Amino acid sequence: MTPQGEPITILMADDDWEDCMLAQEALEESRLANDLRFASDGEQLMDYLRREGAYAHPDSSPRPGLVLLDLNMPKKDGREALSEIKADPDLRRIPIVVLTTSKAEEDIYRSYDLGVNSFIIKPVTFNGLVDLMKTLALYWFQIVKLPP
Amino acid sequence: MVDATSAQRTSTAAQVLEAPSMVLRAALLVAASGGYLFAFAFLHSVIGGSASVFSMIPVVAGGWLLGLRGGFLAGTFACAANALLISLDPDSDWHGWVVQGGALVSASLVLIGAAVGHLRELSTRANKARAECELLEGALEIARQDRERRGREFDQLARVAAHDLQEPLRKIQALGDRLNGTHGEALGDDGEKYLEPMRGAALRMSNMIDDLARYLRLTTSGEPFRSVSLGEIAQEAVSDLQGSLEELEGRVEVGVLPTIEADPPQMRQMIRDLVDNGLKFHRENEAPVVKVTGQLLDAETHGGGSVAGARQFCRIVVEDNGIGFDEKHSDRIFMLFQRLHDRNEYEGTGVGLAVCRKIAELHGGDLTAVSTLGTGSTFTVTLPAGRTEKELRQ
Repeated sequence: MTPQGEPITILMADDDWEDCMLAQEALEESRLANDLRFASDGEQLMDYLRREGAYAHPDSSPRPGLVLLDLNMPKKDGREALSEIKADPDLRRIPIVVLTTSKAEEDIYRSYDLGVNSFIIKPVTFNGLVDLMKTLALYWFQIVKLPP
Repeated sequence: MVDATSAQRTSTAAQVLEAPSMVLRAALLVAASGGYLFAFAFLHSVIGGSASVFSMIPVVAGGWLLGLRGGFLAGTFACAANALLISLDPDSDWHGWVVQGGALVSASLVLIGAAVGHLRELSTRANKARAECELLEGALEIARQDRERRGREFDQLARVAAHDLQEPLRKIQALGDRLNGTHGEALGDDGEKYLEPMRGAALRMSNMIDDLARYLRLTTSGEPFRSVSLGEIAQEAVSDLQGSLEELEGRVEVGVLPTIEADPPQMRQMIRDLVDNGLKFHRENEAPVVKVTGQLLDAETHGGGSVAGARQFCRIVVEDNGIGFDEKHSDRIFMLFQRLHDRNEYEGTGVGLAVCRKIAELHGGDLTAVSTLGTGSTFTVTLPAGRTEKELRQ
């Protein structure tokens, strides 16, 4: 929760709608009040964050307190988007957690090299996903102080 | 001037000279010499010492027809004949000798010309050979780059395929899990009977793809060889297995191991997989003990076998006190995905030993096994101690 009592927005960028659906259900199962939004590729993600195109109206794109980023997406993949976000003085303070199926060491290395906050490999079980959502919310929204 | 075609002419003349028998050749030479002498003597009697000029003719002819050696021979012959006739002639005076000297000088010039031409021809041939050599080196370099590129492509393909093939399996597992969570009660025991093996199958396939990708990439993802302390590597491998060791209350004894030229991560993987194998197939109610020993051997004292060519080789022995296996299967256990046991008895996809053998082979060595059912097994890796990666990966 923000100081104003509004639910913190989590923005999930992932082209896989089943994974998004499972994430939504996991969040509900964990009884967290967060507002989960989705972007299906890197371009949509950047449009949302910059409030451009379809997301021009601020109501349609509340600033996320956390971004869950998949690496493999069409049009613009997570690696490119990550690079752009961390290069943008307005966007780089937003915590980004890569949530991907790739275990490749190069991906882990490069993501941290670009300044990602955490790198997580998608759990295979649903309970694993529920636990992950709980852990993320606990860590990022209760333990950690987010930038104002 | 002598040029490249003189080589052809040389062979023609040589053929003419060589074609008939030895006797005929001698007869031809004598006849030619006699004819020349006769003509020369006649000319000499007619025009006196000036005839010496004509001694140049066989020199020029010799140099042109027969190359440097022929010219030299012809020149020597002509000068000798010349000198003989002049000295025999009672009328000859210094004039004849001057002309003789002149003829000698001209003959020398012709010979020098022949020599220069010959050297030029040699130099041309050397240049041609060098150019051919460079072409071959260029072709070799292209072939090597091509092979490297294909290796990288294959490596990339194996990685991408493994990742992309995993995605549907992950879905089956995750959604199957969700189905169980949301409708487990409605499905009941019957549903569980089908759902659980379905997820299990997806997980098995996922492991097999990972293992297959790991096996395929061994060939292409190798690191350059460097000096590797097998003792250190073995300790690292054992620490990798710390979890299993504690769980099984097992023990690994690592002896003194030599230092060899090898690919470090591959050596670590091989030793780890061999030790893991020894731990996994332990006897019931018997704590697994795996002993790792090694030694350097000279090729002369121990045959050499598959590592022929290496002067020194290294033998690593991994011995366990596990369930062992029937030796009639001793080749099969190294085949990809081949298992001797039900997957409910022992986990794993059957790729560990195939990977170990592949690593040994990539180092120019081999892996064999002997065993006694119920007592234990012994795996022996034989590797050349100092083969360079360049020699092996050509």
